[in-house]
Amino acid sequence: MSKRPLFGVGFLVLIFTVMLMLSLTILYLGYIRYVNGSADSMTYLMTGAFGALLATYGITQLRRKTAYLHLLDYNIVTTTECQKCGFKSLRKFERGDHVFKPADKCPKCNEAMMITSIHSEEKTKKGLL
Amino acid sequence: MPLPFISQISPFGEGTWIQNLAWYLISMLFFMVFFLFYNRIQVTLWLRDIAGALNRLKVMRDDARRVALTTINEIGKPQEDITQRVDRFLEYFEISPVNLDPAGIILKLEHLINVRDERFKEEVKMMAPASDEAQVHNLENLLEATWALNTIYRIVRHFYLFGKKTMSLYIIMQVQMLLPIILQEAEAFSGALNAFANGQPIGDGAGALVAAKLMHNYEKVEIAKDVVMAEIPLDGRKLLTLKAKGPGGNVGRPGEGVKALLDKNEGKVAIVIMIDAALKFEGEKTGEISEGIGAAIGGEGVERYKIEEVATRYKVPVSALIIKESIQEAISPMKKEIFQAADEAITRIRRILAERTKDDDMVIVAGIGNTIGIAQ
Repeated sequence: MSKRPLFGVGFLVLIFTVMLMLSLTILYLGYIRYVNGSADSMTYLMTGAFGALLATYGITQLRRKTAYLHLLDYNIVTTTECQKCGFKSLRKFERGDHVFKPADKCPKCNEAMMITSIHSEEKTKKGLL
Repeated sequence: MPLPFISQISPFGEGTWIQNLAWYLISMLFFMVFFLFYNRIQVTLWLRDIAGALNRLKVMRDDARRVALTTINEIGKPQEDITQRVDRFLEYFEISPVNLDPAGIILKLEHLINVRDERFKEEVKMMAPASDEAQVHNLENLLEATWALNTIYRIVRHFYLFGKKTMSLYIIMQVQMLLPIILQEAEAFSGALNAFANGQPIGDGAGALVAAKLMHNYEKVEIAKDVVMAEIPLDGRKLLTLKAKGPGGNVGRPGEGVKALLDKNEGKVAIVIMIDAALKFEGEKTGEISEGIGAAIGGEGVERYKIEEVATRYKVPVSALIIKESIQEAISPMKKEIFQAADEAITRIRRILAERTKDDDMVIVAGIGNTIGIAQ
């Protein structure tokens, strides 16, 4: 049942590298023929360019991709509000905060304030694995 | 100055016969490789994609496990090392009821869910003896998110290794094509970890928030397991508003709550209004509200079944308000747009009351969702 992959990544890299070298050779030949005014220079140049592009694409696909993790970094804001005078205060979320939890005294009227909102402000950053 | 050797090469028929033959053979070799083994090359590339994703999933899983262990140790203050207990929890599984004979499957499913919930709570209480009720719920949510990440990792690893073993194009192709969705979901769970660890409201709590805003300052009674209800006079109607009991991470059993209220009032209810967070389509704005009919509640279907069954029995219309958000937003800390949508939802409820009910009518308003970080 078990099968080994027919092509290991190393073998594919070799194939694409040989292909790239051959394509560059043909590209070079095309250049020489172009300089000498040969009529078939365009065939060489096109074949070489196309082969080089294909080989480069293949190598790019095989390259070990850097693993990025899109870590979502949240800035959690807790809003406390005075039920009497409407004074609002924003601060960073602290563990134990919840909506409708009584909070500190209002700095304006000294009444007990309450948490009326906890929401996030999202900042996306890329974390390199 | 042309290079002497290379300039002699003539691949298009002008060189010596040996040069032409060599070029012909090389060209044919490449043609054969790509023509005959294209699938194998593609499979190798797909396997590399999957290996990369698996690496990311492993990092997320390990990070989640670390957060879970740290949080339980901080909050629960266990007397012994809980690492093994947490690892055992992460391998937990449940067997769905047999569905060959679907009659009565809902009851079986409900029983299974109840047993699972109790089991999870007992496990968390044993891991974190110093935690209070709300913290037990939050830790349970945190462990469930970690369990989900571990399960996703194990399933993807299974198909990766199985695909590699059999070199089956179809297995590998399916996994590779599903990777964006799988990673999106895993990243959502990963983003939810801190919310669960710290007890922050999450997007899924939008419906619970609406009910909490309505019932705040009114007397509350527990009408079903983990479900609280308050009678609220609003615009000349009597609102029986219910939600899961907060501020711990809890969804309660709102189906039982609605059933209890309808039974108690013998079905003399003008309308049941359900508010829940729902997945938006790509391109839609987060926090938008849509109105429809039917029981707006997710999960495995048990609670929805109960609401549909009792509403049909008493012929009570069920109206649904959904607050739109993505899968990530549903289990990540609640965004400002979703929080603000709660006030808009209350305006919509008042419009429904004005258009579809009369003065002194009794109305059930059910705020559905995880009430983590939201009291009442």
